[in-house]
Amino acid sequence: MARIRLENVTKVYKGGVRAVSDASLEIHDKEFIVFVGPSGCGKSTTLRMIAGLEEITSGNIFIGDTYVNDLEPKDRNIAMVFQNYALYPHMSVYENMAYSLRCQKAKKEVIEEKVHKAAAILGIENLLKRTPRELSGGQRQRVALGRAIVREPSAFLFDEPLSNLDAKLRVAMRAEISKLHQDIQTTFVYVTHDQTEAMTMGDRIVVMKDGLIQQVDTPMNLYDHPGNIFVATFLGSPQMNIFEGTIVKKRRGKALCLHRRIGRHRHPRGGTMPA
Amino acid sequence: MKGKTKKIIDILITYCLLIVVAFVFLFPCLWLILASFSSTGNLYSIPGFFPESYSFQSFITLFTDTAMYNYPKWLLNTLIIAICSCVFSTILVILTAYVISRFEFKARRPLMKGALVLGMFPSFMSMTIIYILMTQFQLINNLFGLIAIYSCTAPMGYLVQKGFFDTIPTSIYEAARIDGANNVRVFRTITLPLAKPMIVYTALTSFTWPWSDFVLPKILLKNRDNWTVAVGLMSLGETEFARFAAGAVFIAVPIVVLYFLLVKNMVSGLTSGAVKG
Repeated sequence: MARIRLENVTKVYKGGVRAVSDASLEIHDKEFIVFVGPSGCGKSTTLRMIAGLEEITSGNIFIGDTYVNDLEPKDRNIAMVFQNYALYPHMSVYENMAYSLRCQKAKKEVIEEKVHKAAAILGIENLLKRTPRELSGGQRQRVALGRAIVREPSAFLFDEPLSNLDAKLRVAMRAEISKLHQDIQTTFVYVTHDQTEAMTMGDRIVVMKDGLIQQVDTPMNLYDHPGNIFVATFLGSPQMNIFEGTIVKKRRGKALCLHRRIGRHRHPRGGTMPA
Repeated sequence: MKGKTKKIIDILITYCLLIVVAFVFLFPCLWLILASFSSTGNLYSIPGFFPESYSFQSFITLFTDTAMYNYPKWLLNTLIIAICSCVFSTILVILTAYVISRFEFKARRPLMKGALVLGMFPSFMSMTIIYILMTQFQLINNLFGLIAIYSCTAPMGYLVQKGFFDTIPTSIYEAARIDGANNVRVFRTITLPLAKPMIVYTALTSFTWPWSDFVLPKILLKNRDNWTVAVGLMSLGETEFARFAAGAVFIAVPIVVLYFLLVKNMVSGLTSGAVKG
């Protein structure tokens, strides 16, 4: 239960690559926020900085009211679900889920209760004795979710959790994660490159490109009132067509466009926007 | 039809080659084993490949006649050296490899390059220096001097282990760190169980090296009672060939036993299921 605040967060990697530039963002309490953008746009880096897995070059991050820049991941009270599940292969599902509690030195009965409760939520109670290698992809991701739930963190971070699943399972898990969010009422930060996931799951969406936040808004607002050409073409399927034109007249706040080469599709670079 | 004959010829050539290579490798072993069971014992009394008569006599004298050649004592020395170096070098190698593989620090690259360059020099180059150092530390004629050398030089060969640690996905460590584990706990509860095959491999190799090494003990161990098996066997005369062979065959036993005990732990694929492959 926490809001997350990013203030001018910048990440420059050792080689000089600027992964995230000057990102400022306020994530509300209990919000489901989705970071979306093409590969290499800095969305995962932003998430990893929130998690504490990546050092912040400049800027501040707050989780709740705590300044977390210098806190270890374990002290940030967050849970993370990875794209490749990252389960502990030598432990049973039960042990995988109990690991964080064991790190906190929780009592045996408490561990058992919490693990079973989380397993019940996800419907994996019958899998508790198995090892990760005996599970299918969907089951593994469910265990990874369970591992996150058990901790009762103040925020959940998801790093493209569904990218490794087949199309049908992805749709099912999408609904499940949304339901999970409604059930446990915690802040969810979700990174994806799949705009359908972003549009269907998020309360608000952060569109990123080349390390810059392009626009932050609700799915409908992004769809109806994109802030720039990139956002306009990135969201929506089929993709929005862009024509170049010139504004010749403005009336009642609406622009009239005169198309130059009518019918010729142009790539989304430069050009004039419908106001 | 033509393809079939070609295939048969292919197989024939392959197997002929394999048999020749296997023979080249196995012949000395076989000869040694046969010689160890020979009853005459003299190198010159074995007429050809097969000894004239067989007996267990050499094995018995090996352990009973200890006045001149104290084989049980040598065996014990070798065992102490090999076991201690095995334990210490395994710990050091695994730690070195893990640190180099997982942690970013300033000296990382210089260390790796340094180890690589130093590894290119033949180990004989350092023998004189080692001898002088050991005399100054008064570790000549001392089994622990040898153990120290074996254990401390072992981390130079960390590359195989580092390669293994590199294959464990980083996200597992990250997940553990987020779950609340510190570095020591991650190492203890995640890395070590996953590295089991590698630890077994490291232990085996770091046991066999001191177990069968000759040059270092020859230089450092002067006292007859401190000798290892390799040095001791070297001192056996030509007339004691069967005894030499028996001694050589006998020291192979622990390695073979160790290998069969541990080989089932060396199965790979332990990490399967952790992450999407």
